Amino acid sequence: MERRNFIKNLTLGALVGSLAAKIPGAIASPAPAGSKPIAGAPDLVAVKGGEPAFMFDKAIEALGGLKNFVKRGQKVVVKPNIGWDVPPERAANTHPELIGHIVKRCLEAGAAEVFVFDNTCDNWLKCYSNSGIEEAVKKAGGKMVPGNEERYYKPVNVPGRVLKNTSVHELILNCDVFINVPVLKHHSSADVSIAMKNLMGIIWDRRWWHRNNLHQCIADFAGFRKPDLNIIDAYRVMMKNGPRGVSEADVKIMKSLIVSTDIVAADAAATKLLGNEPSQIAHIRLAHEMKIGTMDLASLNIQRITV
Amino acid sequence: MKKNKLAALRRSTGLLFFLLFFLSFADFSGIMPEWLIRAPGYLQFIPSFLKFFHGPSLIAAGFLIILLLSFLYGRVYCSWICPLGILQDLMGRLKRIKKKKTIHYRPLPTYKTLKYSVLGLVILLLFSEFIRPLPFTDPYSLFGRIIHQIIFPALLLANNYVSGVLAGFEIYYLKPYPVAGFHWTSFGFSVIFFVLLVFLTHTMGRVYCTAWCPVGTVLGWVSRFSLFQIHISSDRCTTCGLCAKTCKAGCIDYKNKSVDFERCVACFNCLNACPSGGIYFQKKSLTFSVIPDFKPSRRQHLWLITAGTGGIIITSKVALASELHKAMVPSPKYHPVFPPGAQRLDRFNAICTACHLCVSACPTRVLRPSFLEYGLKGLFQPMMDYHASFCNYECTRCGEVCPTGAITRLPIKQKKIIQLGVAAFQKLNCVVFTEETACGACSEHCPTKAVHMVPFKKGLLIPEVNEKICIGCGACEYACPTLPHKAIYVKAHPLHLEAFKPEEERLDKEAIPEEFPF
Repeated sequence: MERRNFIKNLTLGALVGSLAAKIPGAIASPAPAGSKPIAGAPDLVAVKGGEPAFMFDKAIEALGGLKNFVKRGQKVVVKPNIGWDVPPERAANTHPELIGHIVKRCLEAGAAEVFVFDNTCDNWLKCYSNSGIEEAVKKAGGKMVPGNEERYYKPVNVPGRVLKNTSVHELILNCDVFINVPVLKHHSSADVSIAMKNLMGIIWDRRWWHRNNLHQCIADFAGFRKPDLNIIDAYRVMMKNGPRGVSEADVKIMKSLIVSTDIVAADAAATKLLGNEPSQIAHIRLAHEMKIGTMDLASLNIQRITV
Repeated sequence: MKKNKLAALRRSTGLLFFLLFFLSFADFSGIMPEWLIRAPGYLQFIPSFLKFFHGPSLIAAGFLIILLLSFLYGRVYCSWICPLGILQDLMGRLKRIKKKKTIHYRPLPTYKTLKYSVLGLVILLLFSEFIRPLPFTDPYSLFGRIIHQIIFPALLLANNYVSGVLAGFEIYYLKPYPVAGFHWTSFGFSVIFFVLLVFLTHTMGRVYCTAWCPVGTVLGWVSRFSLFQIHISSDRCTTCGLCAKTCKAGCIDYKNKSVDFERCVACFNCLNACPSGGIYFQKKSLTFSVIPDFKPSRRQHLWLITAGTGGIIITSKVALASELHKAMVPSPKYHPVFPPGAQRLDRFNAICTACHLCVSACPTRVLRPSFLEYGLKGLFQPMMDYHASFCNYECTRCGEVCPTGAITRLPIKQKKIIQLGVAAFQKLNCVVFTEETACGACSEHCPTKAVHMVPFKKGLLIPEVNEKICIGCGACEYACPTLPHKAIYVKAHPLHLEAFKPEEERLDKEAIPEEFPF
């Protein structure tokens, strides 16, 4: 009888435990938004002509070093775009070398842990491996985290015009530093896919956004938890057929990198690189209007570096 | 007395085959390499038989090996290779462990009428357009569905549950894998069949194999002429009946000192049960000639089998020939999209035994068991479910694992241009049309950009389909956010076509900006 009771209790315990986990607790509140600008540092750094890792080091140097963003013992999330099951040459995902390097630099700066994930569009296991990002992150000492299960996503309130609530990956809510590392590309729904659009990979129900004014939702969510750093990979740039692309023929090699703490400014500059006007991209214009950041590049202190 | 090693050899061989089949069907992570899934499947009688008759080659000749084995040693297949047979033996063993004593089996009737009727019916129905018998009778497929429907989800859910608990502690080592939708018809059938099998095994041993299984019946018939058979020595036998008590097939009539080798499943347990060495497995002596005890009823069976086999050969040849000339009018009737490599709907429905190995192996879980979507003739066969997922552009896993050749193996290059159907756009459902806000989720996911965006109004873009390069992978249908109905869906072809390759307009590769445009 003792064994039966034990099993009974165990089952009951597990049941209660799993039910408890299901009860939506207090709705998570947004974490502190973005880093404070560093005195004297440029608002935006643009680098061209080098390899991704080298350009990253140059840009961070211009911003006063990574120690301004990552402190000893902090928990860091690096969020690349890993949306598609394609190799790096197709430029649908962020450059694996850049991600690996950022992870490495964060750990060198004293980060306790560096997590990397994306809520992918294609099968997540295939995306993680085929993009080369999983290997690069593991090699650098970071942790690849799945983003494909709804239970990782916790309900949050969003201070938006249309988007009032959504579900965000728990790591974003629990981390100290959030580094957003999109790849610059053309996009069939959002016109461009850059830093703000990349945040669609940290939420669960994207279809709701698509049904309810996509551009406004993207702009709304950009104000929820501003990344501490936005690093835009424009080494290989998908000029058309985005966001998945059809072949390497869609890709231009620009060997560029844009870094800013202002997500709107970063998107505005990258949009120009793609040959578009920021004011023509609805979500950039809306985010500017909502004062989440600025798309007025003339008003910014931009440092341009050629390596 | 020297112990006969045959039973021990049977146990280890059987266990090996069982493990391989079990892992093939239970592998939710895709870790099993393709060859390890294919290799044991080579010797599966019905899948190999079907493969052979739809494309004769040595690669598909596994069933001939089984026939040869049976001719030499009897129904070795049934206890050494057949996963359903070995499953029953394992259940028997479980009962023995639980009861802590040896199980005593009883001799069983021959069930001749039943088994030959089942076999006859299976052969007749094999070419019927109404219902296909193999999903209910092929032991390999019945076994596969038990594992896929019961064990696979149990393991997968357990894995994901533990993975979730660990994730709570920020341990992300254990990966959660995609879970497919629950389909109660397939599940229900397998559960009922499994319960029935447990009951039969516990009460009458391997009666399923001796009274129902058409593969067992065919191999049993061949076993009548086996070179090696089990005999009872009239000198040494003391009529103690110990051999009969160990006989799972219930085929030993110890009182008359005879063994019905047609029903013997070649487990060889009896050889070690005899205290006086009175039962033995050896080459048939010439006195055991077939002719003298030829009975009219046997002749009838002989006729039935010969005619049946001949029928299969002729009909499949005819079917093969007519495949090339049949007018391919697309069916106005709705049918599901079927997997790439399956070529034609009727061909697929005819060859697939619904073993669900492809459903187990599909990494995106777009393949799911059907119920009546194909009609009765395709009961439980796999179909593409574009509301659950979509076909990965880079994947050919289903064709790699299919044991019957119902889904042929495609090189990845060819798979990327096989058109399963074409996307149809329902403008009236589309967000861009109804809400006048931007969306292009369908085009985002399209691997060939057959679904592309064209100017609409107010600077908006709306989807348009280029059917020529559409492959019907279902990514657009899956991604479409509209409710309750999708604004884009894949219309299935009854015959897979070849799509054009997407055109490539090459851009200047190297384009480092001279100056930043800001």
